[in-house]
Amino acid sequence: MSILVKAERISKVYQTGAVTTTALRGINLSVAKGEYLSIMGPSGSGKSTLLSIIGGLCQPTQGVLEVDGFNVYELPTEKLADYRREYIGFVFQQFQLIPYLTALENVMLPLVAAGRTGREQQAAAIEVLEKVGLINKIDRLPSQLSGGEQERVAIARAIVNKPPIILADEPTGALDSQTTEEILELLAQLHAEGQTIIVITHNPLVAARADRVVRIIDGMIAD
Amino acid sequence: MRLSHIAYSNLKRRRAKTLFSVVSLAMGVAVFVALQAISGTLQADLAHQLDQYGANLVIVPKSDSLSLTYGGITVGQVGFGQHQLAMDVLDSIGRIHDADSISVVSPKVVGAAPTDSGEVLVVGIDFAQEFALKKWWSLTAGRRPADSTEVILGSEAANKLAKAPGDQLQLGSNMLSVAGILAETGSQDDQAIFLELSTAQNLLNMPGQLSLVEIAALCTTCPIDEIAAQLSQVIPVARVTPLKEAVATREAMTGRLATFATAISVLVIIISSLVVLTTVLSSVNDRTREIGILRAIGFRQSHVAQIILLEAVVVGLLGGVFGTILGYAGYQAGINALAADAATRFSVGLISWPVVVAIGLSVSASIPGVIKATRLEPVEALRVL
Ligand SMILES: Nc1ncnc2c1ncn2[C@@H]1O[C@H](COP(=O)(O)OP(=O)(O)OP(=O)(O)O)[C@@H](O)[C@H]1O
Ligand SMILES: [Mg+2]
Repeated sequence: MSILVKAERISKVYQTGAVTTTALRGINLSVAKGEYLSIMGPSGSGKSTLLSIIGGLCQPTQGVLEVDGFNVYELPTEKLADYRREYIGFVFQQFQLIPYLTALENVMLPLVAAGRTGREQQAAAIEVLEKVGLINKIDRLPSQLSGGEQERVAIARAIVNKPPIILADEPTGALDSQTTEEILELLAQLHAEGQTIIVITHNPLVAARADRVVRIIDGMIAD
Repeated sequence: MRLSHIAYSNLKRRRAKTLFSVVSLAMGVAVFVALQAISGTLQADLAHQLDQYGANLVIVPKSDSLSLTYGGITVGQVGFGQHQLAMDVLDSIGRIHDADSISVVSPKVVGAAPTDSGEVLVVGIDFAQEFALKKWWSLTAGRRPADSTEVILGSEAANKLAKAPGDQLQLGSNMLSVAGILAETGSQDDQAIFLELSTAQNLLNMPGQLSLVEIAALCTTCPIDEIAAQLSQVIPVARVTPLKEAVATREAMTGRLATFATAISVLVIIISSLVVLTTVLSSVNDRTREIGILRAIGFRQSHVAQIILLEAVVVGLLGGVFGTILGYAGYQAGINALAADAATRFSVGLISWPVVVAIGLSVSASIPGVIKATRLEPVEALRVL
């Protein structure tokens, strides 16, 4: 299998005023195309930081991130935004939907930035909303949806642009076990279709679905 | 869906803040439009009046005891036995250096003559010159005199004497006929009988003499004091009075008004721009997380900037349109209050430039917000709860 994501000696030091926090210390990690990877670890160990770095959201202090063979953080700012749009589908713990846009509009957002026509946006968004089982609630605002439904919208938005990589940070953290199971089914289905997925979780049930589990402790990968 | 839809949806959701920006911009534009339009009209009004008062120089004989009032402007009330000017002053006037700047020379002889109903004010004039000078003169009845036996009457005089065009009028020993009646002017012209200069000179027993000469010099091209000095030099027996002082005072007044209007307008515009600026900045603050989401899912900085600028254009457009409407309403009210002669010409340009300015202001006032929004680090923005 080909390597899609290759992180080499990634370190991250946060500087907040006089306080420096070392979040990551020399992470080496490769993720194969189509792999379903789960990241676990105690709170504050640097999981979200690692995911942000892979997702092109956060420049590492040291190290190189290669995705699809190119060095992500050598890209200029606007190209980095394009990288996030074309390569990454984010699923955040707090869903992070735009409150004044409907489910359909939220899902169309990545396509707006990609400059697709209205027709293409509509067709693609409806297709993925159907896939996540929300086709009859596309005109609702996020506030009119349950937590599980919002999570589905967030997943639909993450996959609408057909990015090679899905990054999910505790996607089920705020959901009950029934809804968690549904979301896991959805992720499993995407994985079965060949989607590369990296998911952070504290939940062993979630981790159990993955091909591989990586543990991070104190900013380092524990073997 | 386009970026504009995101901008529009956001404005709709934040109705109160949007309204606040629109209203503040509208107020600024309204004050600006109203004050500029009012001061513009007042200045136009003044220029118009300057045009009406064709005469800006008056030549009268040197005298010690003349109180001169004429046509609402101080010129002269001529008693008997005063010094008079000779006809040759007219030649002298034509010889001055700046003679080209003189457009009308209207000689006059003024006196009283007996009629059936008592003494009347008689003014001998060169009809062609006088009509050229007094552009506001119009005849309510009849026509201009055709020869030296015809006269025109001021409106009051026609009333008192009960004369109409075609009627005969006995003036001293002369039998004259009424050619026309002047429309009311609100000046002493209303009281007077106007006849041909030579006829009046004979009637008043002042052959070859002039009481005063009114001169219209082209005000924009001529240094009026200079012309007055030149005239004084060629006609030493005369007193030359430039009539510019009253006008200059008014001009200074409107000039000050214009400065004041501009100062207030600029101040209000600055204030409303600052309000828009802070509103946009605080709105960017409120939307930090939202902007973080957009950036995380692949919106470029330029996309975020476009959204905020589109919002600014909408706010500017609304503020500009409402402000302009409000401003012209205020202008009408102001003009009515000032009883000014509002010969305003509404044009597309007049309506559209404040809107363009409002959009420009709103966009410029949004630039700090845009800078702030585009500088947000997406990962930091997402952490804001
Ligand atoms: N923007 C930041 N500024 C300063 N310190 C930060 C920042 N983000 C994270 N940190 C610090 O870096 C360390 C790793 O944080 P991170 O969010 O990656 O942990 P995590 O493993 O995701 O934890 P959790 O399971 O609680 O989400 C923590 O000590 C955190 O306080
Ligand atoms: Mg985390």
